Amino acid sequence: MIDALYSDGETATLHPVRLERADRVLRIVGTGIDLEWPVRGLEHLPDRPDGTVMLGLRGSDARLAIAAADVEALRAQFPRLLDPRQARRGTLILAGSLTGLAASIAGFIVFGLPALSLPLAHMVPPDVEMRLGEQSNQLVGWFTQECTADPAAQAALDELGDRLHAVAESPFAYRIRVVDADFPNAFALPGGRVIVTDELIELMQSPDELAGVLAHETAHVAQRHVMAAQLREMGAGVLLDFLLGGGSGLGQELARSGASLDSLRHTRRAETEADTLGLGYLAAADFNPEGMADFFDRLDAAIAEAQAAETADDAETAGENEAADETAATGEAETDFAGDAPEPAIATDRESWLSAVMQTHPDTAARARSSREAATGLAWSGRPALSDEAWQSVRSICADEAETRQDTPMQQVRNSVDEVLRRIKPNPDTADEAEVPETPETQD
Amino acid sequence: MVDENNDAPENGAAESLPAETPAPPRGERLTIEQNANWGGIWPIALLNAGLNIITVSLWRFWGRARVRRYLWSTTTINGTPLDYTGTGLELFRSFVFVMLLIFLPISGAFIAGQLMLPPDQFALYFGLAYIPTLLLFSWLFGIAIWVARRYRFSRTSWRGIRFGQSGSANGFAWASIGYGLLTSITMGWYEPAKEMRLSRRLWRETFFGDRSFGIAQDDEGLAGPLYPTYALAWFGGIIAYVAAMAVYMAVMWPVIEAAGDGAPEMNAAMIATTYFALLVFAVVAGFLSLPYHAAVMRRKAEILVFEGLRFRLRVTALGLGWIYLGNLVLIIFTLGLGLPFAQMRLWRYVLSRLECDGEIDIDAIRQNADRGPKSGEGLADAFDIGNII
Repeated sequence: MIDALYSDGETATLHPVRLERADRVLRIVGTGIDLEWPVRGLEHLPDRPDGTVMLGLRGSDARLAIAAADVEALRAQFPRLLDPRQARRGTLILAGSLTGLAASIAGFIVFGLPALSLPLAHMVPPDVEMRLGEQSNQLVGWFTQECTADPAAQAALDELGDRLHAVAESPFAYRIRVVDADFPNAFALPGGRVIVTDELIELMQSPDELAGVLAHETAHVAQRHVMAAQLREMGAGVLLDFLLGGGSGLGQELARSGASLDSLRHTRRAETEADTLGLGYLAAADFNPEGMADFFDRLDAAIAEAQAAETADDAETAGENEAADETAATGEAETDFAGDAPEPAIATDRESWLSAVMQTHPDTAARARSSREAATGLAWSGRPALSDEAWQSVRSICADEAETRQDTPMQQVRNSVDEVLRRIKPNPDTADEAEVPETPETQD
Repeated sequence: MVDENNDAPENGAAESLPAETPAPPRGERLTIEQNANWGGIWPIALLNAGLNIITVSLWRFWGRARVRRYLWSTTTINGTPLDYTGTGLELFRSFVFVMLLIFLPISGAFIAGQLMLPPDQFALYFGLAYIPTLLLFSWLFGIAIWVARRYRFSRTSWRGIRFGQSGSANGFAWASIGYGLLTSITMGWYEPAKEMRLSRRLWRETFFGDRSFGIAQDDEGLAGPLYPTYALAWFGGIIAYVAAMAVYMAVMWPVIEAAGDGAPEMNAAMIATTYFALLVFAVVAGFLSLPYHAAVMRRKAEILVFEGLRFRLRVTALGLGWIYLGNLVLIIFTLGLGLPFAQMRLWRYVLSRLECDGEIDIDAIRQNADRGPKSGEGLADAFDIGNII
């Protein structure tokens, strides 16, 4: 006989009872109580922290509480039901399945999404992708300043776009525009828009290099890589939301900031494909096939320069302004061939740029080499991509708009902070300097 | 008859039988005790921490059920523990439902809207959609609070009798939207009334077995006694703002001086300073609002009625502040893994200060047929408001 407390599930009265197993039933006996619970209907509920064992009857609210001291006697009668290993096994199985589920979700994000994104991207109707592109285009306006390209310059860009479109099998016409930004970059938006920053054009030494960059970016567009990257980002956001919980948007945020993860940018395969296809475009449209390789060399040099500045800076005391400015000017070429996502370009600090480049583009020199190798033997009439005159007009876009570049929303916020700080500064000799617009980046 | 002694862990064997032999038929006083301790929560916290890491936080539903089971069953009324009967699976299932049936369609609608609308008028449509969207989410937020509370009560039982909550989630959601609007219009001065009215609404719909809780206070004076402490909190917000700005400027001054003629760069130090100023704001505002928080808790308890019982909650501003401060430190320094400790401290602090006056005929209470919802509090989980306990 084992003591227990019985609550009948109907009233809040507690009844002291005695328990006894009789064949296939559990007998519950107390004052005015004589019950038989079928053993098969018994439920072993979670124990209380003091070791009290709780038993229930399936489909009933009635409960039996057996104090820890009596549990051994009870266990002798119900060895299977009260087997302590059972709870532990349950926890193990549960933890194992959850780990498996988490691993599959993570695996799907890393491997499944990239594999699925491209076929899915091809299923997106072109007009939907165009609309998406228009929105991204408006977002670009948040951190860049659109320059009014003079008609000749825009005509030159349009011509480059048209020549590439004629040889590419692309569902989208290419619309190329130059924007004013503090970083050298070029990226394709969904729907055929290609954005090039003035700093990138400054870095180039011939229109052939521009054609090379555009060929690569337009190949991404034609192959729907841009759309695929967007789908990957969306998919990863939804899945991370599921994993981490929440309409809090934490997952989406992680996916967006995780855009530096390889799986969320263009995949390596997409990059190689764009290199190869771009080269084909160059040859087919009679551009200098080595234009792309030339630009990779330019990029490689910029990285080397930044690294040199980095080591020099490490050796000396921090705060060498010139070195920093130099890298600021040459830096950020990183996202240039890597990303459709413009966000990473906002990080203008040198260390993060450098480490990002090392992570995602360890092979710029190798890419330059292989591109040059592949280009040898390709036909080219020798005519430059743009006439000198047209090239100069393209280079002049945004060139004399040093004032307007302050007008992006990001810059405005920065300026108003600067302005407040300047005003509260009592120092009289700095007061007149406050009139000078602060554009350290444009002084070269 | 309430001289139970199972608060000592060694004595765990004793849900001492003699003491719980049938009570005198009518009128019993109730003694609430809370005996959670670090030794008891430690293994649970450790297991949850390990499994949450391995499962990339998917374990959290089962972990939460374990913490609650511990906290509930260390809370005794006249020596008999509360039982938490909810399961991790219920919480998980509900979360999956909410993600699939609510958040996925909403996200889908947003993405579709973005793609369908003419891009050049995107800003216009965004502006038009703003108010309805805000309304939708406020409504869902109210629903989430109501549903999560009903779930928790329905999974709480004492002596085999369930707690529960009836009434309408929709009504509660609209009430909280309406009171929220009044609070905005009055620049926050409606806040105590809002808090008390919503609480009254919830408690009047709460039951134990076949008996309902009640509120012994009409509209007049419901929140009245809270206003002195609320005024302190309200003006405390302004004081905190001034203090934060003062600290910000004090720290920034040398930086501005050092910058010489140029404007100082937006660097890491400057950002750190901004966060520090925010911290100053939070600490000052938080400290000055403690008396209000304590007063709200006391007020909610003192107007509560259950049958012949009245309640009293002996929480103080400083005591509550100590719990909050300790919990903040616990959670930050364990990167959130110490959450069960924080929950234990708060739960123990509140429940061990809850007292009952009056007598009740426990044996007359019958079970309520309402078993509550089938699954858990997914919506609250999705909004991240289900984590207090």
